[in-house]
Amino acid sequence: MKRSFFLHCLALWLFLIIVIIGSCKRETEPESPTKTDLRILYISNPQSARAKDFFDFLSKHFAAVQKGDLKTFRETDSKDFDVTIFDYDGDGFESPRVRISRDFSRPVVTVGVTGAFICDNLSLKTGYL
Amino acid sequence: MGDGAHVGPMTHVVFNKPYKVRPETEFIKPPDNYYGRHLPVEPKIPDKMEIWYVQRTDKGYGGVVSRAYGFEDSPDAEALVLGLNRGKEYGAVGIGRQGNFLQWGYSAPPSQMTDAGKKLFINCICYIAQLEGKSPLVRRQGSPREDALRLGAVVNRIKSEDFFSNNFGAELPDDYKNDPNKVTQYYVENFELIYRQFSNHEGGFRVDNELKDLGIPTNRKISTLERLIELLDDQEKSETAEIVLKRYTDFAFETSDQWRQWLDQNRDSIFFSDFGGYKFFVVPEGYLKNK
Repeated sequence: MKRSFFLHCLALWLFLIIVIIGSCKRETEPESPTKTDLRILYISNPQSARAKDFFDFLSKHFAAVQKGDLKTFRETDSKDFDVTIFDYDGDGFESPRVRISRDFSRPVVTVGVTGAFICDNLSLKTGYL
Repeated sequence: MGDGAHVGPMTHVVFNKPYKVRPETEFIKPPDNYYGRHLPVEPKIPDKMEIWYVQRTDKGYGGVVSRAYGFEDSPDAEALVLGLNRGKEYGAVGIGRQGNFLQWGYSAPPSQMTDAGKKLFINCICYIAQLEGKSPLVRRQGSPREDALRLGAVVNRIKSEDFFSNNFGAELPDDYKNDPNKVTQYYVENFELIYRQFSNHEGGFRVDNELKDLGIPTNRKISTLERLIELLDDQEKSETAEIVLKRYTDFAFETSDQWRQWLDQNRDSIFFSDFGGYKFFVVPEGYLKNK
């Protein structure tokens, strides 16, 4: 009788330990454990502190990241990348005006005022200001 | 736009993959511009609004929102995050997508983003990566009908000689020039029949009285197309129905049977866009597949 009670208590104790450890693990597990396997082209003013900030951050999360210059960007620059990000430091109203054709169908993230001008130039809703 | 975003539904993949975005939220009193720019056809602005911070620059400016009007009138576009802003209307878009372009309207570099903001930024990149080849379905060819109310509300404050004639001249007599209430009232009453096509520059926002005379209450529903096609077989009304079909589509079928066949084949893929020029469009096959 005593032995049976002891075994029941032990089983309950083990069960509680497993539940507690399991829930602790969920709390501490990183939500996305690996770098995302995407190649990113970040187009901006490549010498700026802002570009470094973006580059360092993106490099932690994506398999390959390369910087490019907004002043000299050509659509063909995007061909080896999964996503092209357009950004610029300082006053977006003064940023170089990059020309992108309506046929450009590669995935793009446009950032801030500079991005809105790109979208406006393409007559997109995201540039309807 | 500054640092804030309005809390909305977070079921979209950009809030969930690869990172779960769990922002800390708070309630604020809506900015004054939300009341000033509120349109009579929109829901009331609540006394408190729940917001979260995408970044922490402590500036009320620097970023940019896109106008809310017409943003989601085509299936290639989504308002992902509404930006807390002090210049435009409530509903203006802080993060939005059209086709293969995702606009992140916030200004700060990652080091100034919040944890939730950083995760959302990564998720947005991962999301848009899946949309290669999904070019936008519409480009700006018309001014969304809400603009008739927005511009009508300031008709007595804009001093430019051309403002009234360019926006309302085809529809309203000169005595409306100094009466914003009369202008907005007129367009509110006819809201479902407003159109403005850039291809036809004569006088701005119009009300479709031909559609009204045909007894059709709106210009932007599938039922509008159905009724117009029916009326092609009505001797008295076929001429007007044809004119109106031409106005709202880029198709030119010769018989009502051809129109009917087109409608039956594409019924589930047809949408109407003010932004795209007040036209019915058909979503290309497979376009929405990866969404």
